[in-house]
Amino acid sequence: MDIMVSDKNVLVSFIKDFICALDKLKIKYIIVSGFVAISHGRSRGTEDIDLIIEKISKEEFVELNNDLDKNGFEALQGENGEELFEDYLEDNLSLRYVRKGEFLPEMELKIAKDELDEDQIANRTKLPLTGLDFYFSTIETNLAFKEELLKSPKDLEDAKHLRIVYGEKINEEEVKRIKELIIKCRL
Amino acid sequence: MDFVEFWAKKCRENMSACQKEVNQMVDSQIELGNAFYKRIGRKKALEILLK
Repeated sequence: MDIMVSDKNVLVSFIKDFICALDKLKIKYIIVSGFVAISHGRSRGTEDIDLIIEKISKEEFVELNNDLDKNGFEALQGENGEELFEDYLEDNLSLRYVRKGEFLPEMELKIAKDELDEDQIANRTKLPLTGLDFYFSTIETNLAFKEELLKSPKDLEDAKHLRIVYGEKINEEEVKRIKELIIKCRL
Repeated sequence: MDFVEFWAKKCRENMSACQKEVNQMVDSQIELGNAFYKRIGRKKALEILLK
Protein backbone atom coordinates (compact mmCIF):
# COMPACT_ATOMS: atom_id res chain seq x y z
CA MET A 1 0.00 0.00 0.00
CA ASP A 2 1.40 3.35 -1.03
CA ILE A 3 0.33 6.07 1.40
CA MET A 4 1.67 9.56 0.87
CA VAL A 5 1.09 12.51 3.17
CA SER A 6 0.76 15.56 0.98
CA ASP A 7 1.88 19.06 1.94
CA LYS A 8 -1.65 20.34 1.40
CA ASN A 9 -3.87 19.93 4.45
CA VAL A 10 -6.73 17.62 3.54
CA LEU A 11 -9.24 18.91 6.09
CA VAL A 12 -8.73 22.58 5.32
CA SER A 13 -9.00 22.05 1.59
CA PHE A 14 -12.14 19.94 2.12
CA ILE A 15 -13.81 22.62 4.28
CA LYS A 16 -12.85 25.42 1.91
CA ASP A 17 -14.41 23.65 -1.08
CA PHE A 18 -17.54 22.73 0.88
CA ILE A 19 -18.08 26.23 2.23
CA CYS A 20 -17.93 27.70 -1.29
CA ALA A 21 -21.40 26.27 -1.89
CA LEU A 22 -22.74 27.81 1.34
CA ASP A 23 -21.22 31.20 0.59
CA LYS A 24 -22.63 31.17 -2.93
CA LEU A 25 -26.16 30.78 -1.52
CA LYS A 26 -25.43 33.18 1.38
CA ILE A 27 -26.21 30.50 3.97
CA LYS A 28 -24.71 31.27 7.37
CA TYR A 29 -22.73 28.44 8.94
CA ILE A 30 -20.50 27.70 11.88
CA ILE A 31 -17.84 25.06 12.38
CA VAL A 32 -18.13 23.62 15.89
CA SER A 33 -16.59 21.07 18.25
CA GLY A 34 -13.51 18.96 17.46
CA PHE A 35 -12.15 20.89 14.52
CA VAL A 36 -12.16 24.08 16.59
CA ALA A 37 -9.64 22.47 18.96
CA ILE A 38 -7.66 20.78 16.19
CA SER A 39 -7.32 24.02 14.24
CA HIS A 40 -5.71 25.44 17.39
CA GLY A 41 -3.08 22.71 17.30
CA ARG A 42 -4.76 20.18 19.61
CA SER A 43 -2.98 16.88 19.12
CA ARG A 44 -5.66 14.39 18.24
CA GLY A 45 -7.09 12.74 15.17
CA THR A 46 -10.41 13.40 13.52
CA GLU A 47 -12.20 12.28 10.41
CA ASP A 48 -15.15 14.63 10.45
CA ILE A 49 -16.06 18.25 10.75
CA ASP A 50 -19.23 19.36 12.51
CA LEU A 51 -21.09 22.14 10.77
CA ILE A 52 -24.34 23.89 11.71
CA ILE A 53 -26.17 26.02 9.17
CA GLU A 54 -28.95 28.52 9.77
CA LYS A 55 -32.54 27.38 9.22
CA ILE A 56 -33.32 27.08 5.53
CA SER A 57 -36.32 25.85 3.58
CA LYS A 58 -36.51 22.55 1.73
CA GLU A 59 -36.22 24.41 -1.58
CA GLU A 60 -33.07 26.20 -0.42
CA PHE A 61 -31.59 22.93 0.76
CA VAL A 62 -32.31 21.22 -2.57
CA GLU A 63 -30.42 24.06 -4.28
CA LEU A 64 -27.54 23.66 -1.82
CA ASN A 65 -27.45 19.89 -2.35
CA ASN A 66 -27.35 20.44 -6.13
CA ASP A 67 -24.49 22.90 -5.78
CA LEU A 68 -22.57 20.53 -3.54
CA ASP A 69 -23.09 17.81 -6.14
CA LYS A 70 -21.68 20.10 -8.84
CA ASN A 71 -18.71 20.84 -6.56
CA GLY A 72 -17.92 17.12 -6.24
CA PHE A 73 -19.62 16.29 -2.92
CA GLU A 74 -22.24 13.66 -2.11
CA ALA A 75 -24.22 12.76 0.99
CA LEU A 76 -23.51 9.24 2.20
CA GLN A 77 -27.23 8.82 2.98
CA GLY A 78 -28.49 9.43 -0.56
CA GLU A 79 -28.80 11.72 -3.56
CA ASN A 80 -32.31 13.12 -3.55
CA GLY A 81 -32.30 16.56 -1.91
CA GLU A 82 -35.99 16.55 -0.97
CA GLU A 83 -35.70 13.12 0.68
CA LEU A 84 -32.51 14.09 2.50
CA PHE A 85 -34.23 17.17 3.90
CA GLU A 86 -37.40 15.32 4.95
CA ASP A 87 -35.71 12.16 6.29
CA TYR A 88 -32.79 13.78 8.11
CA LEU A 89 -32.65 17.55 8.50
CA GLU A 90 -36.32 17.97 9.43
CA ASP A 91 -35.77 15.37 12.17
CA ASN A 92 -32.67 17.20 13.42
CA LEU A 93 -30.40 14.44 12.12
CA SER A 94 -27.12 15.23 10.42
CA LEU A 95 -26.19 14.63 6.81
CA ARG A 96 -22.73 13.32 6.11
CA TYR A 97 -21.07 14.69 3.03
CA VAL A 98 -17.88 13.37 1.48
CA ARG A 99 -16.04 14.02 -1.75
CA LYS A 100 -17.36 11.71 -4.45
CA GLY A 101 -15.33 8.52 -4.53
CA GLU A 102 -13.88 9.12 -1.05
CA PHE A 103 -15.12 8.15 2.41
CA LEU A 104 -13.13 10.53 4.57
CA PRO A 105 -13.15 13.25 5.70
CA GLU A 106 -16.85 13.79 6.33
CA MET A 107 -18.78 17.01 6.78
CA GLU A 108 -21.54 16.43 9.34
CA LEU A 109 -24.12 19.02 8.44
CA LYS A 110 -27.00 19.98 10.72
CA ILE A 111 -29.58 22.71 10.60
CA ALA A 112 -29.95 25.03 13.60
CA LYS A 113 -32.60 23.43 15.77
CA ASP A 114 -33.17 25.75 18.71
CA GLU A 115 -32.40 29.06 20.42
CA LEU A 116 -28.97 27.76 21.37
CA ASP A 117 -27.94 27.02 17.79
CA GLU A 118 -29.36 30.34 16.63
CA ASP A 119 -27.35 32.08 19.37
CA GLN A 120 -24.19 30.33 18.20
CA ILE A 121 -24.75 31.39 14.60
CA ALA A 122 -25.62 34.98 15.57
CA ASN A 123 -22.32 35.22 17.47
CA ARG A 124 -20.19 33.36 14.93
CA THR A 125 -16.66 34.56 14.49
CA LYS A 126 -13.44 34.02 12.62
CA LEU A 127 -10.61 32.87 14.84
CA PRO A 128 -7.32 34.51 13.81
CA LEU A 129 -5.16 32.04 15.75
CA THR A 130 -6.31 29.26 13.41
CA GLY A 131 -5.06 31.17 10.37
CA LEU A 132 -8.25 30.06 8.60
CA ASP A 133 -10.86 32.17 6.84
CA PHE A 134 -13.85 30.20 8.15
CA TYR A 135 -16.64 31.03 10.60
CA PHE A 136 -16.54 29.19 13.91
CA SER A 137 -18.69 29.21 17.00
CA THR A 138 -16.95 31.31 19.63
CA ILE A 139 -14.30 29.84 21.93
CA GLU A 140 -16.63 30.53 24.87
CA THR A 141 -19.41 28.54 23.16
CA ASN A 142 -17.10 25.62 22.50
CA LEU A 143 -15.92 25.62 26.11
CA ALA A 144 -19.51 25.71 27.39
CA PHE A 145 -20.60 22.80 25.18
CA LYS A 146 -17.61 20.65 25.99
CA GLU A 147 -17.69 21.33 29.74
CA GLU A 148 -21.46 21.40 30.34
CA LEU A 149 -23.03 19.12 27.71
CA LEU A 150 -20.61 16.79 25.93
CA LYS A 151 -18.21 16.02 28.82
CA SER A 152 -16.44 12.99 27.24
CA PRO A 153 -12.72 12.68 28.10
CA LYS A 154 -11.89 13.85 24.57
CA ASP A 155 -14.18 16.89 24.88
CA LEU A 156 -12.83 17.83 28.29
CA GLU A 157 -9.29 17.60 26.92
CA ASP A 158 -10.28 19.80 23.96
CA ALA A 159 -11.65 22.35 26.44
CA LYS A 160 -8.49 22.17 28.52
CA HIS A 161 -6.37 22.76 25.41
CA LEU A 162 -8.44 25.81 24.38
CA ARG A 163 -8.35 27.20 27.92
CA ILE A 164 -4.53 27.02 27.99
CA VAL A 165 -4.17 28.46 24.49
CA TYR A 166 -6.55 31.41 25.13
CA GLY A 167 -5.79 31.87 28.85
CA GLU A 168 -7.02 35.17 30.26
CA LYS A 169 -8.65 36.15 26.94
CA ILE A 170 -11.58 33.85 27.71
CA ASN A 171 -14.74 35.70 28.70
CA GLU A 172 -15.91 33.63 31.68
CA GLU A 173 -19.20 35.55 31.97
CA GLU A 174 -20.00 34.55 28.39
CA VAL A 175 -19.08 30.90 29.11
CA LYS A 176 -21.49 31.04 32.05
CA ARG A 177 -24.25 32.61 29.93
CA ILE A 178 -23.98 29.86 27.32
CA LYS A 179 -23.87 27.12 29.95
CA GLU A 180 -27.15 28.48 31.31
CA LEU A 181 -28.60 28.45 27.80
CA ILE A 182 -27.46 24.83 27.38
CA ILE A 183 -29.22 23.88 30.62
CA LYS A 184 -32.37 25.65 29.43
CA CYS A 185 -32.41 24.20 25.90
CA ARG A 186 -30.72 20.81 26.08
CA LEU A 187 -30.67 19.38 29.60
CA MET B 1 1.84 18.26 33.87
CA ASP B 2 -0.01 15.87 31.55
CA PHE B 3 0.40 15.63 27.78
CA VAL B 4 -2.63 17.83 26.97
CA GLU B 5 -1.20 20.61 29.12
CA PHE B 6 2.32 20.16 27.73
CA TRP B 7 1.07 20.28 24.14
CA ALA B 8 -1.29 23.23 24.68
CA LYS B 9 1.57 25.24 26.19
CA LYS B 10 3.71 24.34 23.21
CA CYS B 11 0.91 25.59 20.92
CA ARG B 12 0.59 28.80 22.90
CA GLU B 13 4.28 29.45 22.29
CA ASN B 14 4.34 28.44 18.62
CA MET B 15 0.90 27.83 17.14
CA SER B 16 1.98 27.37 13.52
CA ALA B 17 4.51 24.66 14.40
CA CYS B 18 1.84 22.85 16.41
CA GLN B 19 -0.69 23.11 13.60
CA LYS B 20 1.81 21.78 11.07
CA GLU B 21 2.50 18.66 13.14
CA VAL B 22 -1.19 18.03 13.83
CA ASN B 23 -2.16 18.58 10.19
CA GLN B 24 0.34 15.96 9.06
CA MET B 25 -1.04 13.49 11.61
CA VAL B 26 -4.67 14.11 10.63
CA ASP B 27 -3.92 13.93 6.89
CA SER B 28 -2.14 10.64 7.39
CA GLN B 29 -5.07 9.26 9.40
CA ILE B 30 -7.53 10.28 6.67
CA GLU B 31 -5.43 8.77 3.88
CA LEU B 32 -5.15 5.48 5.76
CA GLY B 33 -8.88 5.49 6.51
CA ASN B 34 -9.77 6.13 2.88
CA ALA B 35 -7.43 3.37 1.73
CA PHE B 36 -9.15 0.98 4.15
CA TYR B 37 -12.69 1.86 3.07
CA LYS B 38 -11.78 1.66 -0.62
CA ARG B 39 -10.22 -1.76 -0.08
CA ILE B 40 -13.34 -3.20 1.57
CA GLY B 41 -15.66 -1.69 -1.08
CA ARG B 42 -18.42 0.91 -1.04
CA LYS B 43 -21.20 -1.34 0.24
CA LYS B 44 -19.26 -2.53 3.31
CA ALA B 45 -17.80 0.91 3.88
CA LEU B 46 -21.26 2.48 4.01
CA GLU B 47 -22.47 -0.27 6.34
CA ILE B 48 -19.71 0.69 8.77
CA LEU B 49 -19.93 4.44 8.34
CA LEU B 50 -23.73 4.67 8.58
CA LYS B 51 -24.37 2.14 11.34
